Amino acid sequence: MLKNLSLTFAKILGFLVPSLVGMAFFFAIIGVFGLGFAVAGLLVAVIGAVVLVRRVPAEGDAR
Amino acid sequence: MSLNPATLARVQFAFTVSFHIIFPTMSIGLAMFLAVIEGLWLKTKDGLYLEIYRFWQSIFAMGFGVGVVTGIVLSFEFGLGFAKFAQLAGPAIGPMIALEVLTSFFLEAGFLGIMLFGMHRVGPKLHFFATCMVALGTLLSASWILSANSWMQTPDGVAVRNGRLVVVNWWHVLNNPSWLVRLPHMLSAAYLTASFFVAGVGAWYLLQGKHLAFAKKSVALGTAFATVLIAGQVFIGDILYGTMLKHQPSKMQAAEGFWEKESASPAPYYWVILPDQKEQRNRFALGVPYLGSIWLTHSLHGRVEGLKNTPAEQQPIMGMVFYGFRIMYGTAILMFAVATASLWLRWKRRLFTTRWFLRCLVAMTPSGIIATLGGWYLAETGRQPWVIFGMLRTIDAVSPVLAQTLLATLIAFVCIYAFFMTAFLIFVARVIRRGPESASIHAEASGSLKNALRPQVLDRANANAAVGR
Repeated sequence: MLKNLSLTFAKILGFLVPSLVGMAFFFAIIGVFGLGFAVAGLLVAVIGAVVLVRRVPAEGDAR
Repeated sequence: MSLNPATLARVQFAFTVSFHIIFPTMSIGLAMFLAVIEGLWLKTKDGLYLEIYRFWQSIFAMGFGVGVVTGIVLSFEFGLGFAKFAQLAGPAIGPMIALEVLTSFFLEAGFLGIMLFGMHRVGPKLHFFATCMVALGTLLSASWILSANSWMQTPDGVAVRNGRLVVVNWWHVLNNPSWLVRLPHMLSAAYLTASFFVAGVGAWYLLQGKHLAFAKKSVALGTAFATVLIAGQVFIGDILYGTMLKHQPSKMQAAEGFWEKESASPAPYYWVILPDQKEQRNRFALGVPYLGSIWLTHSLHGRVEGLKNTPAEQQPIMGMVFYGFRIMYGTAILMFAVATASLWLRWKRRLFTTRWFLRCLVAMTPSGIIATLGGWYLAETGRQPWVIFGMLRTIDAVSPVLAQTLLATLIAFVCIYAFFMTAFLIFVARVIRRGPESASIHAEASGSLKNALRPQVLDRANANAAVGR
């Protein structure tokens, strides 16, 4: 029971965290918080993506 | 029912340009993708990159061919449907189109043959140089055309003397107020189109359990490029929004779906409207509360300007502009969401195993083309009723030709283009179905255009080899 709850919680978290982070970046980049935040958001998003793509090999097999 | 030459001329141009824009968007994106892939192959010597290069090269070649043919038609249509526009705008637009031919077409014509058929005839570095030159050619082509179109949106550097348009400052004509923002927006759209196309095909193979190494690399590369590009695209899009709001307020007023001079506070962000142009109101509107103020005015209670700020005879048709914008923007939001999800799944090392995500990628394969078409509808319908904004009305630019002539040519274009599209889709579907190994063996075996465009020849050869003949 507890294991199931924990799995459900993990799934919800797995959906919520990227959604909220993505929304925050989207709002920042389109300038909702001002041009400074837009530029900073863009730089963090691009550099973060490049670093993640280079450092973390996307491994695993299609099932 | 009587036929209106102005409407027919516009429908014809809209149809041909909508069809055409699909192919340059893909070839600009794929040309750069191929240059990057070949560069990676030269750097790493990993044969998988060469396999990816050869696979996408054949699709690029077909798209490039159809793009060139359908692009030439557009120049003739200036004369056929909009002769008065050609007459007036010729001094500004003509040299730009000529320069496109002189720079990009010559560059592409010089190096395309080496790129497509020279892999075993020239050294790898020269071949890579040829691929880069073709990519540069597509970039230059986009630059000239965007400059010409941006001049129509935000004309500058010209004066009207004795009823004729005279260029007074060439730099201002080329570098008109919207060009330097619209160009990166369009290029980024083309690169995003290629990224989602590549990732979508890779995802399809993964779901099918075929060509796994190729598929994983395609998904990894496609999503990586898309993630970086979509962040930049959203940023550029917002800058462009501000630029167009300054120079073409009527377009952006129509794009947001508000009629009154000032919207209510807080303003909703409309996703669905049923506008009544005659009565200057929406019969129906569905939106997200507060979001209009937040996105458009960057405050919780800001008001948005409506279309009544523009005199009725100078207003574009709201429905077309609004939905063009929503298609583009909605697709961009989906792209952003998919890109964010790809980063998250990459972090969790589930990028290739999450089937719902792979299905999303397959569904997003044509997303770049859909967004580009939406963006161009926004740009072109939002400029109306002007063909050169603030200078020449579309109705005054139409050629003095019979409606029947325009109808006959429109029907001919629809039939011929339907044939082109069918041939292209069958070719692409066949290349994808046969897979990358087929493209690789074939590229080594072939040296002629005839063979390059006929993958089935290879299949027969493979079948014969398999039975030992």
